[in-house]
Amino acid sequence: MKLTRRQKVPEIEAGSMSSIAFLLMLFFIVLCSVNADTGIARRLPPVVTKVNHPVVIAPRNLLNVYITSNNELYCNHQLIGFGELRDHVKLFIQNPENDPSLPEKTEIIIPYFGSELVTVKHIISVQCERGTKYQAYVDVQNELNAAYNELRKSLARRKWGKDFSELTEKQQIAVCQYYPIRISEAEPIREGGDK
Amino acid sequence: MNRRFKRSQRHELPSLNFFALPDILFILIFFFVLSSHVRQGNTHSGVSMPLASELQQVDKRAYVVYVTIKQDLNTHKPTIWIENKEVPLNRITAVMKVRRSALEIAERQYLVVSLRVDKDMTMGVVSDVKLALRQAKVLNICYAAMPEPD
Repeated sequence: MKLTRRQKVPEIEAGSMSSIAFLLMLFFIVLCSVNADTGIARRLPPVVTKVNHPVVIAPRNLLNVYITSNNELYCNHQLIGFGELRDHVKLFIQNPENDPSLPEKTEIIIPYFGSELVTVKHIISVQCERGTKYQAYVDVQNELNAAYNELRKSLARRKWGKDFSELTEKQQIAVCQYYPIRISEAEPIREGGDK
Repeated sequence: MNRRFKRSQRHELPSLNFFALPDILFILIFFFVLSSHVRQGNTHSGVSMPLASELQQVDKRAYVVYVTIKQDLNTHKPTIWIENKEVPLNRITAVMKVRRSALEIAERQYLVVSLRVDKDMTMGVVSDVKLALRQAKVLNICYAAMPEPD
């Protein structure tokens, strides 16, 4: 159909362009928010140049977790399976029966709980060999976090009947004081001075 | 009367209207959202990420530096990348010291290094990188991992 000069050239309707733009923006926001930054947080020990007063840790307060190059797991020099680690760690942190071979319990005052016996001096030392696979190392760190999280969740349930994530920030801090995360990645020095 | 007929006979090209386009786009987007799912062993910049169940979100106030350790495809040796730039092991401490000093003193406690390591990597390189970070006084790290599929 031939356009003559008298015929009006049709205008392109741009009214719905804004809604198209918003939809595209929404699509890309949904797409990008799936890429969340998640991981297992840890704090590394500072580098010590001079060890004047080496920190002495009583053997009962130390849990040695060691992963070999063959991805075998040793807990206090005992070979265990990855699935057993969580229960070992939970028992170590909690020491419910005040076992003398497990960490010593000290009485501290925690808000919302009052005076409680807590294993404030416990330390979990994680070491591995150069040939250990990274996934195995992450699995161990994951199990340690899981042990602490399970203890904290059950405490929140017992005390307030709510899930840990539903507590207020002050309540969460109190629960974390009850079960503090004490994981070390440094070379532990056993009592008596020998490494 | 003749004039009235002439006006109605002037043909105007009907303009294209896009009224239905947002609806079509809605349908397309819903289709993609419903049909997409997280792939197992999701890759981040060429790294096959490890899986973990107890994951924590990186603190919103944190200044995150992404350190990636992956295997070179040709030499099969581990390579270390600090945010898209390859850095040899002996230069990591220097680079991180520069980054740390670029922050205000009050902000330095929020500096976090997100370690993205291939899940089949051996721990030797990772331990070396961690020691280099400790020497640069960068102590907050996060072992990046993906959630385990249900």
